[in-house]
Amino acid sequence: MSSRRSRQQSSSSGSSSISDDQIIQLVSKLRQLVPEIRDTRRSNKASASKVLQETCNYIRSLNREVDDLSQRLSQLLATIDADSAEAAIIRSLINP
Amino acid sequence: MTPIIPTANNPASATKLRFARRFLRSLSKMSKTRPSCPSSICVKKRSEGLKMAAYWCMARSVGSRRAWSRAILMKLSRGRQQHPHHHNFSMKRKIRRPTWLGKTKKKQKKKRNITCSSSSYDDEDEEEIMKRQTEKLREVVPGGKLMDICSLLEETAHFVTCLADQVHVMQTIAHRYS
Repeated sequence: MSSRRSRQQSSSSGSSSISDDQIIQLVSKLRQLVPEIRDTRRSNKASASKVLQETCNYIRSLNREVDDLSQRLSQLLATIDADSAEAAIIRSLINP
Repeated sequence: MTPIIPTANNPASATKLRFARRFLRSLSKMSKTRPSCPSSICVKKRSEGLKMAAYWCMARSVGSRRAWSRAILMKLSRGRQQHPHHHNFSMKRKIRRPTWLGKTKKKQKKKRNITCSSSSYDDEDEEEIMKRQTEKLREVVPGGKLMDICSLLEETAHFVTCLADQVHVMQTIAHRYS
């Protein structure tokens, strides 16, 4: 156990088939997607564990949004005439 | 008032538009087949069904090319097989909620950090922190428990983009009708 403490932040075990570079690339991709990290000035300095943590939080907040929106839409369900509005909604998505 | 979340890169990717059309069709079916019922239990069941329909529509729009969408489709279709009359996710009977969606209650249990002082935090291995965060990520990403770390990160990136798109479409629809 104590021998592990001398390892650097990104462990470079030679036996692993997954390269550190791959992981670094994927983590930086995630960095761009999560608004909490992307919008701060220190976005490049956020550590990998911070990126993962913020990603988890972001996914959970999105799930909560879906929860709330489902409740709202279920209340509005009676008023929704989706067929006629489909074109308008698609148009507003294409031209925001 | 829920804030509008800006989408990552594509304001209107093909997947997002496919999702919008599917979801609108589901909404249309739901509003026609089930008469509106004012009781709170009905509304709650309908919103649960609507939420499952949203995830289903998004997973269908992505198709089977992603592990996360396959995981969602498999889990939700298992629920439908048990209750074959639920074509529209509107519920008379209970549909089992996928574990990656977490508990129904809004309050999320925060795991207490083991570390209390800064010195013990320094002692904790960075690798252990990464492992913990990776485990948490596996819990929230559908199908995450079976993937290696590379696939998990890739799937997470795609899942986050699609989930943000899903939220944006639902907000647009809710905004239009409210």
